[in-house]
Amino acid sequence: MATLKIENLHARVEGQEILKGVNLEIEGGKTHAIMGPNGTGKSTLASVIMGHPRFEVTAGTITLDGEDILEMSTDERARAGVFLAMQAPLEVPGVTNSDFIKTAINARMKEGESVSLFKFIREFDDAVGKLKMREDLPHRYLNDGFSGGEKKRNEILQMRMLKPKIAILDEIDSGLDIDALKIVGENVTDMKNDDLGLLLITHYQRLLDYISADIVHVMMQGRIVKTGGTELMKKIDQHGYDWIKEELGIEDERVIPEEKEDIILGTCATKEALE
Amino acid sequence: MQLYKPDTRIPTVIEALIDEFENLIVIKDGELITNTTGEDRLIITTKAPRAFLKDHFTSDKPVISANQESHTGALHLEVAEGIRLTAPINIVYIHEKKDLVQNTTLTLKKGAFATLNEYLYSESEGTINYLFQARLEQAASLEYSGIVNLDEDTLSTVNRLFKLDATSNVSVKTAQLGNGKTYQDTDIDLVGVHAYGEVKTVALSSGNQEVIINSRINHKARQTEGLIDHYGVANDESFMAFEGTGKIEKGMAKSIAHQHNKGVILGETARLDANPLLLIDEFDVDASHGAAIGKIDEEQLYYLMSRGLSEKDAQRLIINGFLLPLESLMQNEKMKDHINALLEAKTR
Repeated sequence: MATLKIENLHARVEGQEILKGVNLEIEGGKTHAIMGPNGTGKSTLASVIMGHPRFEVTAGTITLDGEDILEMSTDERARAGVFLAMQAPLEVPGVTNSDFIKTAINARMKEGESVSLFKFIREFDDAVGKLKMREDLPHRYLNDGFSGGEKKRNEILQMRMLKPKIAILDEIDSGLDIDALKIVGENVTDMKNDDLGLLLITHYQRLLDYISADIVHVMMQGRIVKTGGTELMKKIDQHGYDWIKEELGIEDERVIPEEKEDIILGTCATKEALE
Repeated sequence: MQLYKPDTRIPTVIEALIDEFENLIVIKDGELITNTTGEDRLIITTKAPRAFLKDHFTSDKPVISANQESHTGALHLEVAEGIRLTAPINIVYIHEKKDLVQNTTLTLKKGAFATLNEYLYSESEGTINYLFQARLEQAASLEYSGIVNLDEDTLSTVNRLFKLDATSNVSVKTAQLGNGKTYQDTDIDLVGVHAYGEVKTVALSSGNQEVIINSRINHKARQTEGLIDHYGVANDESFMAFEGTGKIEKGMAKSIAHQHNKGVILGETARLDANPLLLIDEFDVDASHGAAIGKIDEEQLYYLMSRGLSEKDAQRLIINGFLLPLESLMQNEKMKDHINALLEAKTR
């Protein structure tokens, strides 16, 4: 049973501190959900766990079964059992889904060994069926020209194929219609077992109707400010986040400022710039 | 006294590659040493037809006119009117001696069709002046592919000229996979209405190699269409340049000229320039050009690595995906393995 332990995690991007002391422990068999308004650092946490090069950890630790994963590169973390279903999966034209996943599975095997082609194709087809994706998926290029929903389902398909110990689903519900959300929910629920530790990141309680969570955390100002069970989740669903802000005396929950509006070049630009 | 016998030894790399080829012509240092074409509808002579050259291919480029004047090897192919050769013709040129001046010409008579795959190979030093000239008469059609794989101690100029009459079309696919300093020129003259020409080139450079790719399509008739696609990967400290030109002359209305350049800079100090040009002297045309050159996308790398692929594996998948146009040159499994091995070595 795997345990991912995050202690006093601080991280910044482009000189700006986003995570300000996150503490979280995810153990195998449990499903955690992190909720919270926009811009509070939820996705940053996911990226930092996976080792995105844009983020810099300034303090704290992340360990997987006692091993420091901050010392590992992104691919080493993945091979150690960490999986991140991304909020905006990238398109990689020219690389087929099957080549990609085959290479990823082979990377987990011993030097010189590779996955049996028969077993691989059977598993892949099975996953395609379960996620109700197009049958030609193996031959299509990775997310190239996929709809938003297809991309998200493809993330779950990869999770099925790679069988991680700790899986983080970063806003897997965004851009999904209700049918697709149901498919994703069923698949993730189907994958739940005593060894898999799940971390769901979401704005909306809606996702938790399809994937039940054991523990709910609320993130604000770059740290987890509240933790509870289903009762917390229900209260958020009914009353939003304002009562938590009031309770904790938080005025601005954000750590990432809202995008500044760019001045559009044109006749008014000079005027706006002068103002 | 011994009779002169040409040296017919074939390098092992090539020998392994060609044994499955039907319709094979092997030319070593200008001498024809193998010809298994056995196609009686195809006329083959080892002499360049002078009048043909003079009438159709005059050039102010010294390297071309010098080749036309005197060459060490010549080959002329002709497909008669209305003949459609469905089986591809494979020509392999092997360079071994110091200098090679090879002149190859092709005539496709009215309505003729042919597929021609050429491979220019060397594993020894020297200079190579290679010239290919093809004339397509009305409604003729040519599928041409040319691979250049030359030794790092070679200096080569590879010129391919095509002249197209009305309603004829040519598809030119070329690949620069060798290690020598190479200048590659492809010129398509669209002289008859509705003629269509496309150039798709993949070029790889590594070490301190210099590769210059020049593609030019001249629209000399109305309603002609030309397409130029350049794909390149510059590794190590190499230099590559794409010079693509679509030229539409005055009065050649309703012509179409498009050009794309895509490049990946792999080496820390490598350089890849793209200079797409459109020279248009006519209002009523459809034309575009574009260039996208850069390093491998960091976000794509991260995405692949987040699934456990090593940086090397991730990079390889992305590069291979980028160079997919090479697939059209892989006629069989052997060729596929061969090209993939060259690709691997050049993009490591």
